[in-house]
Amino acid sequence: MTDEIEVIGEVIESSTTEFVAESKELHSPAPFGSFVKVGMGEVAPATGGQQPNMDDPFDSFRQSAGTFNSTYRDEAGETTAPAIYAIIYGANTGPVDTGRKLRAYWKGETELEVVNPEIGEWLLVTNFRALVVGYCANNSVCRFLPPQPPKLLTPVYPCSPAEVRRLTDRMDFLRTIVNFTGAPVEELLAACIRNAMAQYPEDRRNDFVVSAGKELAALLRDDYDRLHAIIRRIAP
Amino acid sequence: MSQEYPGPTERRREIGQIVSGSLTEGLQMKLCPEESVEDVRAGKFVVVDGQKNEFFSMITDVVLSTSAKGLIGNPPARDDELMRSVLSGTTTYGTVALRPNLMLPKDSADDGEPDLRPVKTIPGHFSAVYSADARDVNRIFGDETKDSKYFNIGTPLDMDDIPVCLNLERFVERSNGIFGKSGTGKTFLTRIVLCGIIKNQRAVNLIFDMHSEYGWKGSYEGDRAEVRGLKQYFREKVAVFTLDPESSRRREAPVDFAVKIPYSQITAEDIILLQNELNLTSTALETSYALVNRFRDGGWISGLLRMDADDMKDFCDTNNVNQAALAALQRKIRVLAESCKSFLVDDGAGGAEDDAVKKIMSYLEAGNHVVLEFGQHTQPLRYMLVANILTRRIHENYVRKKEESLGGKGGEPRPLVITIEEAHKFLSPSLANQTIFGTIAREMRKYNVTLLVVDQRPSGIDGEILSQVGTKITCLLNDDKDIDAVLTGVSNASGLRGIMASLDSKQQALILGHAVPMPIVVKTRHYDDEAFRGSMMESKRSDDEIRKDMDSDFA
Repeated sequence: MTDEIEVIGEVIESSTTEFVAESKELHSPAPFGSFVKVGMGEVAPATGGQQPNMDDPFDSFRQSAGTFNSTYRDEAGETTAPAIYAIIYGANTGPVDTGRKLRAYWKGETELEVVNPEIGEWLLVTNFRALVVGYCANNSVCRFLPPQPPKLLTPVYPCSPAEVRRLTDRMDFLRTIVNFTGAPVEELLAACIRNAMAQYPEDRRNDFVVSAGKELAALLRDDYDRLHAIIRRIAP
Repeated sequence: MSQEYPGPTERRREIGQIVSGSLTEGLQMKLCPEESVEDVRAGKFVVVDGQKNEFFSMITDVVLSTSAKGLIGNPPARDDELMRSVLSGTTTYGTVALRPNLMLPKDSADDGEPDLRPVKTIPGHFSAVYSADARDVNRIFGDETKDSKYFNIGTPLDMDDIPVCLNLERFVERSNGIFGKSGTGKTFLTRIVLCGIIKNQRAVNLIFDMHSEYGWKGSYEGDRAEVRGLKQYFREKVAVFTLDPESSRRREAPVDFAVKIPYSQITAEDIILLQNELNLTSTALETSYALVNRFRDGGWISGLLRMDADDMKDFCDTNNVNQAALAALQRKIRVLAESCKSFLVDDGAGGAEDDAVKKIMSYLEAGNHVVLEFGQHTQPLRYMLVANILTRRIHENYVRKKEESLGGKGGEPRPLVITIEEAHKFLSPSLANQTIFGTIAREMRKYNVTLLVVDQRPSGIDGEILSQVGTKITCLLNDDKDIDAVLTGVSNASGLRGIMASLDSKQQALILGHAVPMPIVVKTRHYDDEAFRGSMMESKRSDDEIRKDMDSDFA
């Protein structure tokens, strides 16, 4: 199965653990707690395969950079496109020029679009921030940090349901979130478990939520109140 | 590890992992999250799959544990299903205490007798714990179909089709006890065990049947009014004697022989045994011995009863006996003679052919089993008197025969199992040294006579005797004193204590001791259902035919 999937943003800041992307649509960043991916080149397997040419310092970079293809095959097919997976933990909208403070226009939304279309097109921008939780290379999903951060100015796509299921069939991503300090972790955990749950068929959702909850219970074994708060946010 | 050894996962279900433990305190297992605590029952038989050995263990305790401190003060709401399922198995989990009882090296051969050893070490961290399967039970407890010395007594908890067997050969080697509160199925269990002994011909039985439940038919609490007695199963091998032929007739229970006991069979010790029942003073023994000396032909009771005031005065003067004590003894013996007049006969009235002991001995020697029904005579006084008189003489016979066989004059006497109910009356600390039952219980198998003690109040039995009881089959007991008493002479009793108090009130028993390799809780098999009948019935004749035969015998 191949599908064209729509780009939702482009990486504008990148580090090993997180990245910032500019949203394609103003005011419509990827939802909080949703799973996104950024293209990544093939990573050479640790043993065998093509060894990087040590004489050429750019060779290994070239190999891992590659090109990201927006088409992919889901779990019924053989391959999953190499990608870095991340969870959206925040978004903000503001003026493009951070030195220039935005002022109120005192116009309705519709009127503003007609009279001052440049505001939406040039003056304002929506960014979202994503926490890297794993990657896929050589058709295997790794639930730890990729060797290199996402490349700047590469497109950001939403993860397909199959990718979300594949990433979340083990709950390692929860630990990454729990240890993250730059976001409202409880809200983020609840949101991303709800989002992941929605990617499962109806009859498997409860099992997924319970096993995610059990993983959280193990992670937060010393902080029952926090666990309780998260579970209350997950429960439908 | 032998190549043939099938991986545990192929046949057993994992229920947890060992997380801590010690050789002296037992093992702690963390229950698998998917296992419900409520499925874990005290007494369940489980196998710990160690690296080099399998440890056959019993669950002795179940604990609810939590790893979160705040949880206890702020439990999830009743309708918070998700929170409950999340916590179950992670923050809240079951911890199960196990008592390893036997270990089996994994490299031992699969065929033949398994090389079971006492536990001298413990399995390592995180060893998997499995619920035992049929093969485990068979390896430990033997297989009825392969060896007749094994006898199916029930099934382990939660394993309905797998028989747990008693090793009857070992069972009859020692005195045994069947304990339990009233109404917990002691009598049924006793019948099952007796059927096993009779069927497999491991010993002959003499059963003092206080409530007339073993011979022809027994009563049943529940939907069925009655169950078959031993006679209905083993027509040829079981003889029913009665002290109360009238009662047997009324119950339409055919009997083989009505027991009469001449006064001459009663010794001074028999009377002393009844000191509580007859309210005898301490001088009664001395007085009795004086009488026995005076009436050397054995007729001391009839002699005493015939004495008038002048005879007594003469006797007291010549024998230096207190006349008041003698008069008191006479009054009390008279009460005894009166209350037992239906089976106690004056020496002149009966004859040698009426001698019940000889008759019983001849049956036992022929390999038959004797049930002595007491009919209406269920008062402890009569029961104790008769049981003691008969047992003493039978025991004397056995001692003589055994000594003769040791001297090369004849074969070993058949092992004899004497079943007594209300055993605490015979074996109480104050009497245990005096009654013949105390002697038998202590000297055990030396003379091929052992006891099967059936009792609801084991704490009333002398501790020395309880510690010598080989196999204890215990139904529910509530009283701490009784539980302590049953566990006398059992090592590491602490785990078993909880199990014993948590048995079901029906059809569950803890078996421990000589005849089983490790303690186990069983759901006892049904007595007198189709399967039981099928495995027991030898005689294919109908009840009516048996009854007719027996009636003619009796007439």
